[in-house]
Amino acid sequence: MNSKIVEGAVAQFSKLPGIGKKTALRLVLHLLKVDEQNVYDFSKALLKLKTDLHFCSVCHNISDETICSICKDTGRNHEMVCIVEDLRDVIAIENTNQFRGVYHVLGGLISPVDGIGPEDLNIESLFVRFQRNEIKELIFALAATMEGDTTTFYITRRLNGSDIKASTIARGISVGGELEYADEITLGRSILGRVPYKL
Amino acid sequence: MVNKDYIFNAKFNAFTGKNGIGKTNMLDAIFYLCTGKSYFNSNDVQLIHNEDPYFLLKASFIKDSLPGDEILCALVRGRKKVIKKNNIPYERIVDHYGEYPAIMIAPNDLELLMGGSEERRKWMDATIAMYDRQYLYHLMRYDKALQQRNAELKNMFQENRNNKEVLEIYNQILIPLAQAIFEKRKEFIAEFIPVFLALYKEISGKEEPVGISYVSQLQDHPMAYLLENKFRQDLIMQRTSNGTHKDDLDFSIFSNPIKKYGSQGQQKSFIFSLKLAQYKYSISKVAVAPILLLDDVCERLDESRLRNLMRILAQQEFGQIFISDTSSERILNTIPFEGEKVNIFELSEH
Ligand SMILES: [Zn+2]
Repeated sequence: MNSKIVEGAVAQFSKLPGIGKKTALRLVLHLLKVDEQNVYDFSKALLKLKTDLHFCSVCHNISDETICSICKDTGRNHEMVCIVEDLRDVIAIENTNQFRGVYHVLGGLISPVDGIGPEDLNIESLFVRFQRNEIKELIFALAATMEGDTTTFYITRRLNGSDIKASTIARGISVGGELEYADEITLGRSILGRVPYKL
Repeated sequence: MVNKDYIFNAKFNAFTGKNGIGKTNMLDAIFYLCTGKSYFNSNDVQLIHNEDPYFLLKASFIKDSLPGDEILCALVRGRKKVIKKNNIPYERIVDHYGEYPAIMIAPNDLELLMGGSEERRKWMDATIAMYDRQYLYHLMRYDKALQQRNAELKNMFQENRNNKEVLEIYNQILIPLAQAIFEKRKEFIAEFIPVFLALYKEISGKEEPVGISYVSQLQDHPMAYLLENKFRQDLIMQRTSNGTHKDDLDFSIFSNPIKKYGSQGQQKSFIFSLKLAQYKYSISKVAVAPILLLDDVCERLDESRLRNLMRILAQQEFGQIFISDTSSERILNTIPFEGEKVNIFELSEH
């Protein structure tokens, strides 16, 4: 390539997941063709992700403000908390329109092999919510994998002896246990048909 | 690319031809279609011929003279392997295991006697998993939990941390799995031994006292005790020192390890008896008689043992058999099968 500038842009695009050199070049060539304003809006939207976006101080969901729209919604049941791994799960469950509680986003799952322990996740803040007596029911919507099980196990063990109601969403929901891939109907049904979890 | 089609005999098939012509590959291809993996090479990419972009295997199985499933196995370089049953891909490849049981008898089986305990555990697990899907899932879950527990031990050691909360979770996952695996292996060996002893007598033609015994740390203590009691040691070693992943089988002749004290002939009789017993035992456990694949057996057995083996194979209960040998004549001379029950495929360069 004979432009360092184009080369640099291609290199940046190809850092994105699922984007190879070929696709990156195609995207860059496309941007060269569009109006300057479009490119400006595009880059501004990217920057805003880092400068203006917050993580909700209650549930760690992404939010434009300190507290997210779900946590702010008084029409929802704030005593029923669905525990998920990340943002994608919130989106998947919200799309089912079957869940009227609130969330707690852990930001990962316990996996010593990957160097992830409970202290690396948003678990302490869950117990803060719990100690404030805000939570009556927990729904674990974590992947049906060893890591998901371990995380559920860890949290429920620490709730031992409490009178919180706990359940997991019906298992075998999808390929490889990844929530994200479950179609909305199955996921909606899983949310409704939960399996009680003995604390 | 090379493309070949075969129609097999329901009873006895032989691949013949000179060494290096691909007889073993033929057997392994059948094994692959049955089990979803190669018997000889766990690296699937290496199974692709030379510079070819992919390999593809396809088989139409026949059950009780009726058309059964169509199985397809394919691997394209750089992609994940695909196994399809009647055009529907398996979500988990492992679910194909046990659908069409197959047992291979090959020269490298001697590793079962000579090699480390892992070889014997693998053999035992492959045998049980063929008829017990639950056992296979238990094994996979156990392995995963064990890896995580070992990583957690390493993290604890390196961070000089005493908090056992996470480690304790893996203990709780491992304990029931280890107990279940232990019980299953114990039960299997107890049922397997009489089948094995009878076959050893038949193949060797001798009354030598041979034995198999199952060795497990769980015989002395339950898994919970082992994990708790060996914690300090495990922490320093940064891995789990006790459990069913340390199980072994003792193979003996005249109460001595056959690996050290058995003659070559005794070792061969032992191995063939072990594999044939695996076959016979499997028949009693699965709906379809497994496919039996015999790689290069004629070269490895003396005449009397070979004749004993063939006599056993001719029994009604043995299902479809595939054999490889350099000589078509030898096959025709030793097999006790009638003409219509035999197909011989002479392999050549192209
Ligand atoms: Zn929130």
